[in-house]
Amino acid sequence: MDMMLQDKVAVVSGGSRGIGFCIARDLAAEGCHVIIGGRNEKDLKDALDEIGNQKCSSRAASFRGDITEKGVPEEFIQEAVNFFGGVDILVNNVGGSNPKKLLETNDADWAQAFEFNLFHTVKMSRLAIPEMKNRGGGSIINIASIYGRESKGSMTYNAFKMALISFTKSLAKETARDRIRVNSICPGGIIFPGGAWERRIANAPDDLKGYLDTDFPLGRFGRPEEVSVVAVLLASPRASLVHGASWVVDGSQSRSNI
Amino acid sequence: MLEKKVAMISGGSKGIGFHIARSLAAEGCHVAISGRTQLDLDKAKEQIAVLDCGRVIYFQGDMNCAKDCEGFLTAVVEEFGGVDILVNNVGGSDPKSLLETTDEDWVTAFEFNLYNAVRLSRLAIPEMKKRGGGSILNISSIAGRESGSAMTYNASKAAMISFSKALSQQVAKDNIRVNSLCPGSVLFPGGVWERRIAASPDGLKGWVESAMPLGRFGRPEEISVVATFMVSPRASLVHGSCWNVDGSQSRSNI
Repeated sequence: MDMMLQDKVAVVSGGSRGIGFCIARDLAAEGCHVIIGGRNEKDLKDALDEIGNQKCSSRAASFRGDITEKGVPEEFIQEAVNFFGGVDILVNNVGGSNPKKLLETNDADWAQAFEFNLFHTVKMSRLAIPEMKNRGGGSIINIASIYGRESKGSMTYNAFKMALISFTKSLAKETARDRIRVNSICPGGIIFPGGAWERRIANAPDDLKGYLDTDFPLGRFGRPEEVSVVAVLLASPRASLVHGASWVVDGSQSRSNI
Repeated sequence: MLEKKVAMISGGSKGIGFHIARSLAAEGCHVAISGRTQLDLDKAKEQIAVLDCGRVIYFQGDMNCAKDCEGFLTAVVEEFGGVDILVNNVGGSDPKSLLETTDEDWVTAFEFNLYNAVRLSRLAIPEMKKRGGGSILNISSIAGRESGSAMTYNASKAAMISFSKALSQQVAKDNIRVNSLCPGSVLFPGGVWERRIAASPDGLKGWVESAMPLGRFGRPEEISVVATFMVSPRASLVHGSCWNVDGSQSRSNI
């Protein structure tokens, strides 16, 4: 099916590894020009090489920076505009968790979780929306988590992933008439090189076996390409009625019916 | 990845079900459509015949009747040798408030919006297991997730979502994915919204303006593009999910 993504410009934060990388790669395969953001120069180069190996007609670029630092979102979006002339798709993928319980956390832990899981998404959206309006519309995809919808694991992560879902819905109301769709994807446990689950398995493989049996109906972790295929659909103009939605992609790992 | 998969769609002669059937046929599926009236089935046949697509059969029957569910499944297996995809699309609403409803109204709502999906799933699953897996998609509604439509419709559509999730846990290890899709208000010829627009003094313009962030109804092809993806093997991690396709019409964040 033609996803109508040829020559669209996509900005993907945290796009050098894992889910963000797979999203950037799959969008490029559909003809998008992509710019991936990341903190590590080597990871970015490896990612660009792999995207380039697909031999698609579109171009790819990278932006090195820490998206939680002041001024970096502005530079990132400006780089996209400099390279590709505008922005059609924004994928807010950066995020991560800290397993401390309440009494173990300090104020800085909460501030850091807020920056890492929510605030950059707000800033990037605020910057991208005028660019999308210039081009007649667009699509914003926020990568949340099933733990933004129900409870397990990291308290601070859960709180700000839930806030991210709330922000997604509120923003959807504001941008609807500008033809800018805003949605979130809520993955479950996804395993990829360099990711958190890979580290946990390395540290405690026996713990994980029990966890897979009880919590994962499919008997396995998800793979990042199983999330990116959904992101491509959400980015596509074919998903014209998908707006303000929070789509779970988790192999039925989460408990909620809805 | 849908080429030659066998898909059965209940209530596939009109509206959302028809568009899903057509979209799957266009992707190369062999498709079986059920409908209650021969006239609607013939109209569907005319529209699909012009496509370059997989084979399509048309089954006349009422999915609220257990015998017709069995007849539908039998016809599909006889024609195509098995089942890979089941789309439970039959459903509808009756706007009575509690004090207006009879016991029969409640029974009818659950027949119409839940039990036929249960029966068809129960029949299709053994066939899917024989073929190493499959996909079941239940067409529910945003009214199954939050309030806003008729009481009996809301409750029975909610039950359908619950059934989807419970079933997803049961058949995961059989490589059968189960999901629900929740449309908002979708306008199509012969559908309930067409009737309501005709009956309304301002053609529902005021309501659409206030209730629909996109300022318009949904179109059935905007549902079918998502449904086609959800039943495709490409959606391999999409299981036990309940996806809204409603232009942000619903209130819930999740």
